[in-house]
Amino acid sequence: MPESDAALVRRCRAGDAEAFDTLVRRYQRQTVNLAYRLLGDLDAAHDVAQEAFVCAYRALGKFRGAARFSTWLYRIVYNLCLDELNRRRRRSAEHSLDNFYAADDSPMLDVPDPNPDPAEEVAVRLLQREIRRAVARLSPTHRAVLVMYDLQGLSYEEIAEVLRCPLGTVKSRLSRARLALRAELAGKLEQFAPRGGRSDLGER
Amino acid sequence: MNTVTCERAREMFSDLFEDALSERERAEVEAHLAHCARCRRAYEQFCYLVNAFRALPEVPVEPLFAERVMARVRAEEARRRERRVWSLLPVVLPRAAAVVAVGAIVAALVVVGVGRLRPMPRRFAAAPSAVATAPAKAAAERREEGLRAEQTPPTPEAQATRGTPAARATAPSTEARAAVPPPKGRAARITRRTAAPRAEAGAPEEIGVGEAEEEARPSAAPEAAPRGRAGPAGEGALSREMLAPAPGIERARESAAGAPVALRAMPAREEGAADVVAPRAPAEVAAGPLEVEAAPRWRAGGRGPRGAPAPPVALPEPRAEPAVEPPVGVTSLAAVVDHVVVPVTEGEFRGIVSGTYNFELDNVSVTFALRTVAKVSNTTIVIAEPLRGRVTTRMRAVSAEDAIRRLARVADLIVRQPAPSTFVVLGQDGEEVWECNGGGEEDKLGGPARF
Repeated sequence: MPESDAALVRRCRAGDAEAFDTLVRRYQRQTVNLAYRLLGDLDAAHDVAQEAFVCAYRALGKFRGAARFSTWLYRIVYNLCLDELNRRRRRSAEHSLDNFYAADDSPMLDVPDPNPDPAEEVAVRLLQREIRRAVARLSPTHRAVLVMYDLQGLSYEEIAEVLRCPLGTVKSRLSRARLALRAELAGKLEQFAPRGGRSDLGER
Repeated sequence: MNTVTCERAREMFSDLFEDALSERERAEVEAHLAHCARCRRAYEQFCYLVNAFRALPEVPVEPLFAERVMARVRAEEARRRERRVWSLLPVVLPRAAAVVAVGAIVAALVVVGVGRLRPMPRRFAAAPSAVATAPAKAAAERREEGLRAEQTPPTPEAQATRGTPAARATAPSTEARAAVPPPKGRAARITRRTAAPRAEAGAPEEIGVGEAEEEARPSAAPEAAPRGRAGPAGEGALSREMLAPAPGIERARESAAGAPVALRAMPAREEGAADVVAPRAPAEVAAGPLEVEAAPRWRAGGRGPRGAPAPPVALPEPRAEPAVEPPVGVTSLAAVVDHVVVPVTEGEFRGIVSGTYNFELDNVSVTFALRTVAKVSNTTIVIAEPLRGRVTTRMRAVSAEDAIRRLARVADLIVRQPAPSTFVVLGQDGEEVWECNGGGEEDKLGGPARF
């Protein structure tokens, strides 16, 4: 049975840096992906994720275990992402939305696809492209809630820990974020979403 | 029973989708949907949208991510211990050490081969522990050579490569060189290098590697006298168009002709000098001029003993046979480039000199390209394996870090190509174009170069 986060954290705090290795490997995927979905830039996401882990390591002494390690880590990622986004806003021209989520279109990203219907698949891909653009236009908070809930599968409670806000706020933010996303995509949905019935695209 | 307005219904979509409504709310909203076609359609789209969003792919984590993090963590840990030791001494001492260590970083620009870069202060403070083995000795000898060479004053050409207007002005020969097309890249390269004082170090035939290897020395021998990087001679091959520093960097480069640039650009972070993002293998560089050995980072000691963070001891590393099986989790044999972060920017800890650059690289080896970027940005790059392949690219207004990452990616791409092939990678914004030549034997380092 894998060692629990809490146990690993204890080992780290006792000076065992190698225990941290396990934590890094356990959470690198989520961390990088969270940063990527918040920043839209894979390189920056890796930087932020790396920074987050290092920050976490430095701050482990202050981690009292009131929250889960995971949400504590995600909070660091989230804050670093906000910093990065602020920095970008200051030098605005550098990052255009066109580049947002460019890694999704990278040929290196070959995601095996479970969808058997090519036409449907194309429609979904096209819509996803639009979705990515729309997500880029959402506020960071909305983006964060959407990503953590829908992509990363965090619970309301976990998200509340990350964002340090009440549970109800998470719910209402999620609802608003989804509606905002839908509003951003108003025309496109008409174009891509099939009529009739609730789509049963693969749930993740 | 129509108690729910369209607006209210839409607010409830999310909870309806999540099945998080109370019985009563649910009945209400469903009743509304039953008779309001627009909301029904809107809800369909809502569900479709959420599902499509959820189906967005995950992005892969880059192969050596965890190793990089851990390299920094171990460095951090080592630094902590270091600090504990230092704290016993007068305050002045560590400061001096930090300053000197910064000098050492500046010297340590590019490492070819596998280096476990240790935190600088330790390097400086502790005795060199790496020199016990034969290859390491060899490295030490080469290092001395390098030292000698390094101490010679920069040639005008070297200055020209710095790319500042000032530097350029002092190097009128740049023009001349650019005007004379090299008969054959390599020959031209050699000529230039002979003009440079350092050229003695490598046999002309081995220019590519020899030079890269020279670069390795400062880092391979960090214990050697720390010094500003005074004479990056021998890099005269850059045409000045290649390095057009964007405005942001001008300040840092203002006085780039001399050594202290980097020093000045780097606010000495006392505690630690470089954040070394190093691969795990402990071996110090010991690459001969011809072959930059593919030292398997994942072998021989790997991460070092558990519980003992970042022991600076370089184990005797057996020369690696090139065909090493990659370890689980590393996707390519030559998971190639690691950049080592040098703390430079003012205020911000971003690791690499701020500012953006334009790079134009025309069919140069990937190694050269990386080295170029490293040079202009005072960045250290660790190249674990000989990089095959050549690259043609234009990068506009990129940070050094971006440039390095992109090059690293290309290098990785090339290495993954089993057969020689040429392919083009379109940059993210369609503006940059990469032509990569996966190259066969001749494209190994030192192949017919056209720098």
